[in-house]
Amino acid sequence: MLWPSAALALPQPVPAASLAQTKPANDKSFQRVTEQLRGVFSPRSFFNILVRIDKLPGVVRAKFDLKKSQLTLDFLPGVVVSPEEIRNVMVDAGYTPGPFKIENIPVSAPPDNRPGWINIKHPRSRSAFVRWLEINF
Amino acid sequence: MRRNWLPLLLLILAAGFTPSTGFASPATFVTALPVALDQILARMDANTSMAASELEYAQFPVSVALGATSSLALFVTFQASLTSLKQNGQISTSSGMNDTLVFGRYTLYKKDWPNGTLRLAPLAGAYLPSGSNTLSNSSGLLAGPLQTGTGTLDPYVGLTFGANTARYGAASDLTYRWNPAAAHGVSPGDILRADGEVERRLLPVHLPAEGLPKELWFVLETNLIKNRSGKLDGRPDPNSGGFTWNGAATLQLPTLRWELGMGVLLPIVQQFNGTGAIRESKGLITFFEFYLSAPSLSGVRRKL
Repeated sequence: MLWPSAALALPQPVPAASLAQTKPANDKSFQRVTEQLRGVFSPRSFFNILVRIDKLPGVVRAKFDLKKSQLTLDFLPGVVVSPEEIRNVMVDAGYTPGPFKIENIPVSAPPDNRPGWINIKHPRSRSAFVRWLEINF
Repeated sequence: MRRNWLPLLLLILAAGFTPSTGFASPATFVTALPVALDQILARMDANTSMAASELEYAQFPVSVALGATSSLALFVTFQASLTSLKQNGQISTSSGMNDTLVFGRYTLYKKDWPNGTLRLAPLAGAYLPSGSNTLSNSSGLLAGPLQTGTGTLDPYVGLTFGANTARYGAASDLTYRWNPAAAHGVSPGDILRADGEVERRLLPVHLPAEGLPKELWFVLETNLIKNRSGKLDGRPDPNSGGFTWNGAATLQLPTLRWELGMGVLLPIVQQFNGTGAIRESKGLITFFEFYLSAPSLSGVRRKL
């Protein structure tokens, strides 16, 4: 690693093979993805990722942590996210994918209200232009 | 192959042009701005002369960048300007659209790590002749600084480099603009330009443990510009071309969705060929940029 903060308090990376076998989320739990970011150094860098998250189905909110260089995504209950989708978010945003983990969190678990959460919009208008307006403004 | 020439390029950039920069947010050049796939970046600049001098100006460039793929960004820069020149007791003015810059930038090399990145990207494009090089008044052709274009399609190539961490950043570019001579009017010579930028986060002094803080950055920039001698109505003009070195200092407020910057531009060295040189005074630079999500065509573009 080039950077001392690489040794963050993130859980050890989970091999892709075991991630694929992660127990699917059901309607009593939701999936949470926690990823170590690489190449993200300022608030504006997170927008590059936000653009990609906006297009990820089922994600309801994202947590950006600059100091930890960490991204956390919460998905709708029942939505199962694949490791490939998570990797593509980073690749399409122009960054090198980092290690990540996928957890199943019970819906009844205490809400995570730490700073840094942003709600993700998923406009449903039939008009592409209206959807574009809704997602940006 | 890459290992052979990459260190040499980095050395050239580091040695030749004061500081170099990553894909940060320089105020005086746009080649290093970061753009992701399906992202639109829009930036509006307002650059004006601050002190009364023989040459006074107000320039309003608008740059729009689109992430066509995760590595390829497309840029277009329109510029409107208003310029006033006082010579021999006479005041001449000009205004209008300047030449339009269109270029693509491809990220050839990147190294990412937590809270840091290093990028190297060549770029290529052209200045489209949307300005005019034949502006005149009752006395004849206006002087070069009052012309708004070159009258020709001008190829433009360059290389940009950037390295950033959560506390420090640096960026640079090296660009060359070929200005073919036009048969009529004022034709400036080719332009070799090297820009450099270093930046430091002032606030917050220590990043909070969670979330995205509001930040304030201090940015120093330098621009080295070498203009070759140009032509006047197709004939060599000995009173054109030269070398200028500018410095700039700005304060910048970056957020998740927009960034605001303001500062001053200081001419440090102005050496011109021939006689009748027109010197610039210090200027005020302001910019505002914001980021949008573009309509997605990523299914097609990811294959590129």
